Amino acid sequence: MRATAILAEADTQQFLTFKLAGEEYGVGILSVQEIRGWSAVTAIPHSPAWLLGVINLRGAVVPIIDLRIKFNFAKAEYNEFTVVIILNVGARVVGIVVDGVSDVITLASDQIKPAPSLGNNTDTSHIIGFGTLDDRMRILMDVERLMAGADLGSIKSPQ
Amino acid sequence: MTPPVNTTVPAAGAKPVAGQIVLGAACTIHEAQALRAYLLERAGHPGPYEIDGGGVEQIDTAGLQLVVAFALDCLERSIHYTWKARSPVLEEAIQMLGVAPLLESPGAVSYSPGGAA
Amino acid sequence: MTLDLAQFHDTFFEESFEALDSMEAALLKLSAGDVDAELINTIFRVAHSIKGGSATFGFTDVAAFTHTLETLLDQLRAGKRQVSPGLVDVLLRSCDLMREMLEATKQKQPMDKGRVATLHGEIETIMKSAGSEPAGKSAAAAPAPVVMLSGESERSGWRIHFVPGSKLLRNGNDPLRILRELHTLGPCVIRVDAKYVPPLADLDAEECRLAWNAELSGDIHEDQVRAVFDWVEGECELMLEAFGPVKAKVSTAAPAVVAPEVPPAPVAAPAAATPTATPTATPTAAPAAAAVSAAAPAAPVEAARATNAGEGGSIRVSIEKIDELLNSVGELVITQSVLSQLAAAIEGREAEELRSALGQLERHMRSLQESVMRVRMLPISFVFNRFPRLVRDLGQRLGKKIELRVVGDQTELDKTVLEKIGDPLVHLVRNSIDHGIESPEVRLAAGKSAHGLIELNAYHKGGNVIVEVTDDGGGLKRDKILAKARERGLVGPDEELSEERVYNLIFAPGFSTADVVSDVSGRGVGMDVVKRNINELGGHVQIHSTPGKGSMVRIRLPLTLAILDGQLARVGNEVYVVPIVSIVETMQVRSELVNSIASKGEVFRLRDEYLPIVRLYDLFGIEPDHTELLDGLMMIVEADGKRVGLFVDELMSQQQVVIKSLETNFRPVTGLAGATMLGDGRVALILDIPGVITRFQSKETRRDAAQRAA
Repeated sequence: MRATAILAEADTQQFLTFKLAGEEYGVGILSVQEIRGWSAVTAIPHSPAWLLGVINLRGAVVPIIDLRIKFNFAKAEYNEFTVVIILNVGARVVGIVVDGVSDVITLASDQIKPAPSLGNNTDTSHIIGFGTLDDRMRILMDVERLMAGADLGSIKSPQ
Repeated sequence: MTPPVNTTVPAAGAKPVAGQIVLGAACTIHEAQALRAYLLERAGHPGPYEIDGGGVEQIDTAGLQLVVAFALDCLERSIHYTWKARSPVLEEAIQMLGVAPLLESPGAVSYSPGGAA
Repeated sequence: MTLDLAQFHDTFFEESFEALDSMEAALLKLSAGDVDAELINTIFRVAHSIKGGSATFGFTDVAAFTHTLETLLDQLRAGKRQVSPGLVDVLLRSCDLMREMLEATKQKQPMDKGRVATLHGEIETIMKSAGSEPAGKSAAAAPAPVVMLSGESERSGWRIHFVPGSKLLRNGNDPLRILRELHTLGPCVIRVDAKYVPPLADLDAEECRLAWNAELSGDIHEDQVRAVFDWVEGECELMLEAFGPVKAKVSTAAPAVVAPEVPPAPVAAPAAATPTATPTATPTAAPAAAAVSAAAPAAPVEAARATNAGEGGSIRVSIEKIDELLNSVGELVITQSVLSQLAAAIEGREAEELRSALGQLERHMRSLQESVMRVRMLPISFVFNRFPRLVRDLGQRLGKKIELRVVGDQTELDKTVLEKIGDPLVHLVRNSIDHGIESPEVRLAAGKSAHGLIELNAYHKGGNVIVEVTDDGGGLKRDKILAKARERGLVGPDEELSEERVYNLIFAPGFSTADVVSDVSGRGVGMDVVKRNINELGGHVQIHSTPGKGSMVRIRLPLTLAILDGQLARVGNEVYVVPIVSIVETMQVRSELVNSIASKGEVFRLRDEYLPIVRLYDLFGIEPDHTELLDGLMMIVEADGKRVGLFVDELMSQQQVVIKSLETNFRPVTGLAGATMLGDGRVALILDIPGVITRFQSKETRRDAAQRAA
């Protein structure tokens, strides 16, 4: 299943929404390259637990991140229902494991509320805001900041 | 073989100036052995050299070849030489045999090898 | 308008650097005595085109300097000035300066105007001094030799090759007279060949060792030419070749374009039948066309360069396109591999046919892959060509006589490897000249020839490219090296090392035994950087030496960076690829070979060495099949002169793998050189042995510290 880019109105944005440990999230549709099922991953030694490893995506080496682990949710399973969303982040291609994909929604700017600072040490820079539609709130994420925070390739020198 | 008609053979008691090379009036195959010996002796002195070819009146391939060999040796040893003079006869022979590129230009300012940039 | 021009800057710089290389090559040939009008034309055209281009783009400094240079070169071209060693020297320095100026302009950095002005002044001084044309002094009968003007067309005449025999002079003949006579037939360009003139001390005064190549222009009959040589027929080698009217092919493409090497002119046999003076242009009768340079002329750029001579033809290709092509082919190989695996599981007669067809496909794929890889390959001459100049300049500067010999310069290697091997090679050669080759006095005293010899040798062996830098200097000083290593703590005070290991210590960081830190090398940053650069290319470097006789550095490089010969090894459920170039040997573990030493942990005895044991499962956090050393395999690997034993569960196949970078979408990981796709589509990680060792060592250090703290 491949998400197709749909032309949006100037003051609206489109998001692909998905489920993660019971919550609903969304990422900008333009960053979504494709959606795949789960396939075997090659582990990279000594990488963080949320970096599951890499897969072969038509010849490219693509890292797969499990956001459920990164956000400290209860670890979910990897089975035939597991979905991987392949994202384009800048020049990189990265995959995120989610519990399931929902719809593509269109939100007008006034439907997006900025994220409040949670006061504690939680880093919420990756959250654009909260989008409410049909009485459901989705946490909208900025994919670039998400990946930057995930310490992917920002440091060049070996540990 | 007639003895070299060579005004360069130093008069008894006179010491040739180190580095000076004077080519005799005749530098042909008849003088070749003597010229070779002379050039070899001169090469034994440290450079730089100054070659005076202004007195050359007869020269052929054999004679010029010796001069060329001497010049090539200088190049190898990175020793510098300049031409004090080249007679018209010598000049013509140099042009005719095409050996000008192998020799320093006459009256040229010395360029140090490898020169500072 | 400015915007439009800027997009052409890159091309201008690229082509100018290439052109300067061909200018340098031509100058080096001139300085060796090979005075060819073509060479002078080449040099002139380079200056001319750089002048034009820089003026167009508003690079006024470059334009002004090049303009003056062009004027001087025009004098040469027109025969108003003769080539001389001093002149060639100034021209070589001008070439260097232009390179610097262009680089500075490209980087938008300032250039030292003082130096430019100085060299500019030197050139102007030369121009004002008398050309070597004997002004009015020469005998009226002597015509000045004419240097061919470029663009000259509609010529016909004879090319004459004349080599006097050993008795020619003694028999009373004189080439000088003969050449004078040749001039009476028509305009004549004489080029002497002094290659075989020995040092004066060895020269027989009555034997002619000079030879000549002449070009006689005009509608002249062969008999007339031969008549000139009547007296010496039989006492010399004489070859005549006619050339007919040629339409001058002046290059209309970007002036820095250089034609590929053209084959040498067919030479008529001495007393053979008259070669017809036909109007057909022979391939080499394009002297006025785009310049010919026997040495591969340019810096490593794209696979080939454009020519309008219509010979063979080649095109510039961007490196990205080739990489894309290579990638696609790599994918095809994997897909075909997957298909083969699937077909292996099917039964039946159709399955047989399918398997057979897939086998053919595989063969075609491999062939395609090799072809595409070869597109990226260039001859090592592109790198070796730097060295005549380097050796000449450095030898002069240090007062040493060096002969440079180059073997195998057509050996091909991948463009990226080629680009990165240059600097290490330069350092090695500089090292040989600086520290290896002795001064002429020392050499003579030692009974050696005054000339030192440096040889560059490149050849293919077993899927690798081997490059050797050999010198016949004094060799390495074993004791000095060992002492220094002990001083630096690289070697224990009582540790004994084999001679080989001692010599290779010079590659350790911070190591330098030069008594005087010369500005050439010896600063101690050299050899370890060389080794690192070579290792980064997936290569290997070693030095061998014989005291008093010389040294040889041997570099082993992969044919291409993109492909690696790997040994698949399994640890638990994970499959890793170990570069074959790093593997020493693999063996089963025998209990008596394993020891535990207090300070070093687990070690494995290999003949006379004790090697640390690296349990890969532990290092990578994998669940292995075996934790007992006796049940698995020990793979001895080597990097940076260090050896360790990798403990793995099983060895699988050896295969060529396509290297994928981890950095594209992820980041570099110490211990991993990249990833690759196996036949089943899975990703396998490629080990980087130096990194694995580093990882292992830091882990051990941390564990020791933790234990002590506990």
